[in-house]
Amino acid sequence: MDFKELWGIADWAVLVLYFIGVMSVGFVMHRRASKNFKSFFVAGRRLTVPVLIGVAAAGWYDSWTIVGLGELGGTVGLSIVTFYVIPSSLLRLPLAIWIGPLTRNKLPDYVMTLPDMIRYFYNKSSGVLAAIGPVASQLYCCALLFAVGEVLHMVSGAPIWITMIIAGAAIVVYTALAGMWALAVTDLIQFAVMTVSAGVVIWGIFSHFGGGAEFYDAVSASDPEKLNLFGHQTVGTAFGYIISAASMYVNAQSYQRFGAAKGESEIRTAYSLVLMIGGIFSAAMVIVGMAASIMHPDAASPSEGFWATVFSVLPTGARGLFVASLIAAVMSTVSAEFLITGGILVKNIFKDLFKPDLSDQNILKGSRIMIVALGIFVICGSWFWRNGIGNAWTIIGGFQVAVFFVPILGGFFYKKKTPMGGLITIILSVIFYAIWQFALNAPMGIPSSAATWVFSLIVYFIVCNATQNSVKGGAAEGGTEDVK
Amino acid sequence: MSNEKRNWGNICAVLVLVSVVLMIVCMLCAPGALLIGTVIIMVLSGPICLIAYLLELRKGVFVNDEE
Repeated sequence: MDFKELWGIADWAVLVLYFIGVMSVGFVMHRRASKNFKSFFVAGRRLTVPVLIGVAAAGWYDSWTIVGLGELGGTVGLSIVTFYVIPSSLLRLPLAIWIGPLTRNKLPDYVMTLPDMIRYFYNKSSGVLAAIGPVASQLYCCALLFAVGEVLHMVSGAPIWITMIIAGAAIVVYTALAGMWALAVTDLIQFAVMTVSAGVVIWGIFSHFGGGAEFYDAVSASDPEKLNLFGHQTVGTAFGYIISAASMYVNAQSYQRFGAAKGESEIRTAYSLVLMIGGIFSAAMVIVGMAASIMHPDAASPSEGFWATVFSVLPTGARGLFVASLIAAVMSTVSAEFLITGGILVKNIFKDLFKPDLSDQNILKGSRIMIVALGIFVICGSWFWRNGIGNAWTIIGGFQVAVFFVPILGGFFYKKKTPMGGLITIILSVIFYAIWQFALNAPMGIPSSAATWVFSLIVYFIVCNATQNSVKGGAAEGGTEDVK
Repeated sequence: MSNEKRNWGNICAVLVLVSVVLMIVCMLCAPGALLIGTVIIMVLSGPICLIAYLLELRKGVFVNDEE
């Protein structure tokens, strides 16, 4: 299918309007975000329910939710809802109703980043180790930016490197100008674009097939297993999908956004609503993928089939809206990663390790410079090293989820935690993960993250209890070290 | 935290569970409702949040942007 032929003036208008909208937010919010680092990084801790819904959705649902789930819908059908979409909603519910409110209310005001939090729970060394994961997430941003470049290239015919520069520059501008304030408002706009376009494309599918029952009949005629809630899955793959939901427990974006909320009740309400809406949005993308496998069975790739379906069922203008929704999903995730990494590099690495007396205004200024530098790195990385970068992120991202899951939960809930308990667990878990994943190749089909969780849980309890006596003055109750 | 606010949080958490159950039921025996329900929730939810934010902005909720 030639996507350029179907791309009309109305689609361009929607896309241009979207870009102008998100860029304008950066300029409008610039002044408000420039007061201090707290204002820039966590929006002065003033975000209310509607804005939190936008930022939560941006953090938890990215372009993979759109295209990745679409592709899985096309290949395995409804079982991906059973084993990924529903478990994700349920397993993240504790984050929304317990851990989020705890992060906002129980942690001191100066704890703003994930490394800050780990340092608060344990010690400085643990905090520095915790900075590696969020910084490495820039590698994932490279893959995301390339996806945007590809889609814009598909509809415009412009070279991918130009489309990547345009998208990357737009993200850098509004993030560097207004930090979390810009993210909060742009995420909300992006959330609205994503949900409306998902609704429109599902309506297009409903109309194309003439109803839900007719759609099911067509799927059944093509491959009845796709309507089986357990179809096309093995125990291993199903288990892998289920535990992948736990990645949000070590996601730096989640904790930064909990900290930006106005209060704990706002987190409960907003994040619960996001889990509901996000679950339905994810299921919608699975349905689009299933429709694609029927409507375009000969597509060169599941991704091409997905886009061909979207362009077939949507009228001009709505196509622009759907493309904007994918770009929105990517931009919201990448901008959040830029902000968090910029803040961590300056506050948790440069200030903590090299310049402890760095002023708040200089942290803010440094974060802005780092965001621009990260933007340049990600644009170059997307183009020159995307394959290697994708592999590197898979490895580092896997480490992050496996290694920090137990120390984070222990930090919140285990009263006997000790600084050595956290540090030794992190170090030994890194070694264990490397051996299990790379030397033993995940024996017995047990995923490396699950095996590492069991290992780190045992180490954590043993070391915390063994080092209890060395902890003085109730440090184990939280706040083992002042991170100021 | 006021009781009213806490109740809203709890109601929303229960809504997650209800939506999951409804999703399973619709996937099994009501595909039409699954598609139509998805369309309605998707088309309404994003714009409602955006409008709610604009109303808050108008009320001056973000005027004092520091705790």
